Amino acid sequence: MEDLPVGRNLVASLTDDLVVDILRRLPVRSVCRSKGVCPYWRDLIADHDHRKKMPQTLSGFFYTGFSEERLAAEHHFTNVTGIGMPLISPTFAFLPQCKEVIPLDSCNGLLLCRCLQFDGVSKFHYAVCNPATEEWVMLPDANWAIDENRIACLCFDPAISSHFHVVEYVEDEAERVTGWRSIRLKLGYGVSMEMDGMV
Amino acid sequence: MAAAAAEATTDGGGKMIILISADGKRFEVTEAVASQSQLISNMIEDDCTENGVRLPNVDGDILTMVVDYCNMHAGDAAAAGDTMKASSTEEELKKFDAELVQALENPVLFKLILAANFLNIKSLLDMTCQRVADMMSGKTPEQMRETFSIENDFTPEEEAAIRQENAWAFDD
Repeated sequence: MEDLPVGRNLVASLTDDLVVDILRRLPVRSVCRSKGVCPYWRDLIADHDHRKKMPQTLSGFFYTGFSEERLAAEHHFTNVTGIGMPLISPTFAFLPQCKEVIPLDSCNGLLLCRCLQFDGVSKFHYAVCNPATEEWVMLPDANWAIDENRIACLCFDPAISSHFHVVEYVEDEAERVTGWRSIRLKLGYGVSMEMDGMV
Repeated sequence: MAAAAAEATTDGGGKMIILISADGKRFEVTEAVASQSQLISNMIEDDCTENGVRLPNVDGDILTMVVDYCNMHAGDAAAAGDTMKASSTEEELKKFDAELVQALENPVLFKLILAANFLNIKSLLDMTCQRVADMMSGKTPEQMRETFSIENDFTPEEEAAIRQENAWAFDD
């Protein structure tokens, strides 16, 4: 083994697939720490195809049931393993001014939610939150009419940037896209509107 | 290098295969032992092991370990087992595996991973990768770099950004 001098990057002799095979065996906290070892590992972990193999934090499913007692929809969360206490409380009690929170999209640990308010007229706004840390931010231009046909999705990659993007489309009755906007935001920080437009 | 022995057979009648390491060391093993390597198993099926199997990227001392491992595990691989001596008990195997990976110095461990990958021996690859993962678990990035002699080629800004984005994972 004398041909591997001390100080040489041992891991460099392994192929990408082998490094991923090692990283995927780590608990999620160690995977996150591994991103801080070198840019090569950071990029391997961020790679879309590899990410699916790595352990994910707070993995699970949101689902909605109907309570016969309360005659209302009830939101639930179940861990992906199906065992243990739910890792997330689907009531989102840490979000202010909300009567009901409906998760719309999730991406790498962040959730995009529609928050419904019922102060006279039915209105909603969007919130993006990290249910693990209970950090949140409301999107600007709140108070959409609840019957507006808006479709929103969330894009976030913490390995690239701590900013996330929300892309939103507005459709008319004939399901034609009549407008869209893209917002770039960071949890707990200011807002920068990147684009918006009409088609 | 004479290849006459490649066709030798054991007393039990099982065909023998000669494995030749990068540095020319020769290992005689039964088909049952060798076919734990998917690579060699495919070669046996294709009938191209007659003149011995040259493994140009596996050193003799690594191949010694691989052959030991395969000899030890041949019992559970050859389920029929009629050509095998009494197969090792599960406990013996576990002990053997644990001692094998625990004893390895880093460069040897990584070479064994490469050999297991090249020869396509899934159980050995699993075991060695798991060993590396166990060595990383619970360590800080600095400790991981030290363990595996990885250079820190982050800029200070990049490193600070990673720490900030994954702050929860860095807290003790």
